[in-house]
Amino acid sequence: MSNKDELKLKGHLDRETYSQINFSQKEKERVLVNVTSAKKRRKSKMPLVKKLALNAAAAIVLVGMGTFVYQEVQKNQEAVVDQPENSDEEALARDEAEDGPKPDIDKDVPDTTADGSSGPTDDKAWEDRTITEKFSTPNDPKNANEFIAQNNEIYQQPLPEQYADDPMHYYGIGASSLYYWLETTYKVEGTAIEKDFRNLKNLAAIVVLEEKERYAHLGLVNENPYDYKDQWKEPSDRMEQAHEYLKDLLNEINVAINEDGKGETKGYSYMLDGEKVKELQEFIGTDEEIKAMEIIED
Amino acid sequence: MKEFNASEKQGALSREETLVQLMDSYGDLVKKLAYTYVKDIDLAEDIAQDVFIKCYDHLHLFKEKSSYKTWIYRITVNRSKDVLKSNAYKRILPFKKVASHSKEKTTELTVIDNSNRNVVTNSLMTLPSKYREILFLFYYEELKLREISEVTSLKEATVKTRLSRGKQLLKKELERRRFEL
Repeated sequence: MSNKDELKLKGHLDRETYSQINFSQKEKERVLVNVTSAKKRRKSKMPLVKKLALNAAAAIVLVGMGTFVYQEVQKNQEAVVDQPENSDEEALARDEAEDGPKPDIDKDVPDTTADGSSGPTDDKAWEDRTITEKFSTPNDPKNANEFIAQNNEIYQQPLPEQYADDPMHYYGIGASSLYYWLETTYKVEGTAIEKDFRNLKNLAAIVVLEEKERYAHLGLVNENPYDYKDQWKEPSDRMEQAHEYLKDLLNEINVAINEDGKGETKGYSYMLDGEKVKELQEFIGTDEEIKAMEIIED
Repeated sequence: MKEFNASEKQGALSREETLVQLMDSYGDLVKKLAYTYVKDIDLAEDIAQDVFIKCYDHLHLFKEKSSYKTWIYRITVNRSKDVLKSNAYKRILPFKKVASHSKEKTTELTVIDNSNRNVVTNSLMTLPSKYREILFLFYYEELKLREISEVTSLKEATVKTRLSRGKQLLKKELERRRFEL
């Protein structure tokens, strides 16, 4: 193999395209902004760590005090029990008094609050828990609302012409994107919304996995499957169905969180009390089945 | 390209200054290399930025066993391959475009999109990535086989074979497009 560039590749590439590709000043600035803001974030995390440590210490002290108080109460009660002259009425009163503080100490606090013992909870209430540190560019959607709105918009658009021969490949790409971002970045908290997001992510996972099945028979190792696109199998029915559900659910989540519940729906969303959530759940199967499969390769 | 000499300067420069020097020296080539893999200028830009952020984060781990150049190329190759294999690559396609990135889509994109005139570029881009990377690194970046082996984590013999095969495929593709060398 001669080292000589007999194809004059470098010259041709530069003339045609590559001389125009440059890492601009703005791009350099973006990198610098990114590294300096990351540095600031790291610094600003220190007081938070301290705060957490203080909170933990305070919690330990309070628990310690609580235990001490409880033990003292117990001791006093034992002392009272030991007194033979106590009447039944007094004993009853004592039992009632005894029953009072006990649950406060023994109860499983998270369960009680999760049950909403202080009043009826709104299972549609939700909060955005987007992990902003995961943004790859300043233009990424800022929160779950924006993320859902953007993706819904994409899914509502007509299929790009270049994918006309294989629409499911296009939607496989979309599902992969959705899965990645839902897994890593866009998080929510709330009873119904979490179920919807989980279902959305699992549907995306099914689409991605079914797409992988399209080239699994090629047995590629460390090779880009797109180089062998012409040898892929046709998409499975499950992939197509998962895509349909995904598209509908995405729209319904958008209706729920961005459109005040106004819009056309088919009944797959918990946020909108959809009538077909059971059907969707049965299609998806269990989370464990989905989790067991490797979605993200890197 | 003015190569960044680590041993001369590293001690005297802050991390930020070193990063700026690295971006000045290798920014264009990193972006070109990434573009050769992913064939998308937006994503190449993202990769290049990721690469330098990673460099910055790992500057203290850089041991001068290799040059900065091969170290950065290696990071670029790995990052580009990760992107190709995983979701990020798929993100860039129509799905990412809706995110309306305010990238600098000026001459750069116009030229790249002007596909009719870019016979050699388009021919190179049709080759499987395993050949494309080697051809680019060898002929464009002018790395030696040993350096390509280091950058790509392939054996030198494999690099050599792929270079030869890649060249044949490229020639064939250029002939098919009736391009006269």
